[in-house]
Amino acid sequence: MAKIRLNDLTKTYQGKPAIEKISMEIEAGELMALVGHSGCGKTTMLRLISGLIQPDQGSIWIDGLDVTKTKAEKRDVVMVFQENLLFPHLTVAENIAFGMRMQRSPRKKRMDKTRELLDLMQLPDLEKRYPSQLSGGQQQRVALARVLALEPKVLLLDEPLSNLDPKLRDDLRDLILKLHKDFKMTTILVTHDRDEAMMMADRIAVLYYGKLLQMDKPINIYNKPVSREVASLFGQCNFIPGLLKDGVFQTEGYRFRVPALKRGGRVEACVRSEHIKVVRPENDRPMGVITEKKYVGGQSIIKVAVGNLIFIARGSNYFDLEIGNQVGLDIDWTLVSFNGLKNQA
Amino acid sequence: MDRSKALGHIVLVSILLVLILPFLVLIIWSFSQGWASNALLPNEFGLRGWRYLFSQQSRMLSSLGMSILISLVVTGFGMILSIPAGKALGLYIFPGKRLIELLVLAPTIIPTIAVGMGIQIAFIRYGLADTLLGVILVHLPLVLPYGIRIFASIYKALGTKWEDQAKILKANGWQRFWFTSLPFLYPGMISAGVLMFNVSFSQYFLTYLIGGGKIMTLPILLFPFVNSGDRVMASGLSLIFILSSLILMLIIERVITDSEEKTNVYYL
Repeated sequence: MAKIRLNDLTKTYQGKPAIEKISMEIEAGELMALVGHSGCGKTTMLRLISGLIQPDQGSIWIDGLDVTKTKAEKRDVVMVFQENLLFPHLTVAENIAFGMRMQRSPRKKRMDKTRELLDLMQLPDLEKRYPSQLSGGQQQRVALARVLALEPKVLLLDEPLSNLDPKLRDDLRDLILKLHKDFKMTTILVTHDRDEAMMMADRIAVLYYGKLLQMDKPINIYNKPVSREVASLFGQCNFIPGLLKDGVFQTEGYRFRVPALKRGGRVEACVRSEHIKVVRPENDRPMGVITEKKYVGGQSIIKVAVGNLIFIARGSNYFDLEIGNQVGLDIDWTLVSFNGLKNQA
Repeated sequence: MDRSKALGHIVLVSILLVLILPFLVLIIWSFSQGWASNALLPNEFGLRGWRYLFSQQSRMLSSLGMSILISLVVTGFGMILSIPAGKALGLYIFPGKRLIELLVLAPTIIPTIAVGMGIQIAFIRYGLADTLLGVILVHLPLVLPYGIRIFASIYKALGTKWEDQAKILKANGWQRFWFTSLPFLYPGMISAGVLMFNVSFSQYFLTYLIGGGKIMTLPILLFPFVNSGDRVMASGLSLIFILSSLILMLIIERVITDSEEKTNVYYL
């Protein structure tokens, strides 16, 4: 297990910053998910930590040692690439043993370890096959086995589940979580899939155009997003600007009574659509008219116009509602996050 | 049979004829003893040409050996030089890259006679004229463009991802080349090897100029016969020339090629 510390890490590509002044600490044995839109610098982060590229500024520390200048082949860090890059000219067993062979481990040890990993990865009787003869899920398992053979302190995964179909995805996700615990590794997972990050990670770091926006436990990322960008990455959100003062949230056209908060002034409320219930119209609630209705899987998405505001609510059991119905909204304000507004006109 | 099929057959047969007819003519010539100018076939067949070619005084066997030696050494060095050069041109961006690409290609564009004289003067100064080393050195720039172009395009297609993967698996520089890059280069090594060997094997002018007639290769031996109109000898030598390079190609291909399942996944 290893603790990783990143200090003011900056990397530019042809004048454009890929990541900018990122500092973070990843605890020993933690599973951290790096989340963000494509091109936000997630993969650059992994390549920096693995040592495949060098930062322009800043330093990388593993277990109290500065490894910034250490070459990839000397670091105790391994990485599984998105395209699993199994060597096509080597068999499954040879692929798994590759790292040990490069380190000149004795033959006996190599063979034992390979067999052990084949069992662990549920890849029996495949050791003599070539990668092109394996299914996508099997290839990804071999790629994992190949790096685990090196008994690394740090495991980096670049979108390991993105090329798999849903059933395989679930299996491999559980396998990765199990390996992470059994091998006692510090793991960094890059993903653009918010559910994957929520389900797997101890903490989530959200990147946005090369900057670290927020790093926290999944539940806090979801319920207390620090900005609009973080909020919308993890599910649908109604962003409502207004004035917050003494338990009242004054918006354009409507006053909401909210729990008393320390913070006040011009804010933007982020109301998750699943925290709004569409109910019978009653006098003490905001009321509006349904303008749109969609049905997605087991849930309905309902758009309700309240004065000038449009709320999007999400939930089950809304089958009997029709467009044009007068309804009330029950908003759980304890779950709403308010963020100060920047660049106020 | 429909028309397109018939047309296809005609094209196929005519291609075969165009390729095989010259061979037939060479074979007939090499076995002829006398051929009247107005006859379709020689009036007398014999082994005069072949007997002479395989005799001591023709120096055919020693020239063939010399040719093979030079071409193999040139191919070997050409390979050693063009793989790293191809990697540099295929993967890296550096100032002056376009110029170097052009310079590498130059030997295939600029007539050898234009630079041959200058090279000869320089080689005389350094004592390389009339030597085996001199001939090998002067063949090298002629074969390099083929190797460099092939390896540059392979490296370009591969990118750096396999090397990155090997780095992650803790392979050092040599191991990365030996265990990950080389297997991907095999098919390219066959085509580059065959091309480089043939270019060197059939080189006449520069071998003659730098070797000064002391380094006897097959083309050097062949030329006077063609020039003096001794078609029996010329045909025999030409056949030996073609067959020996063909046999060597087959050997190279056998030696380098691996089992099928490996080669067909290289360019994925």
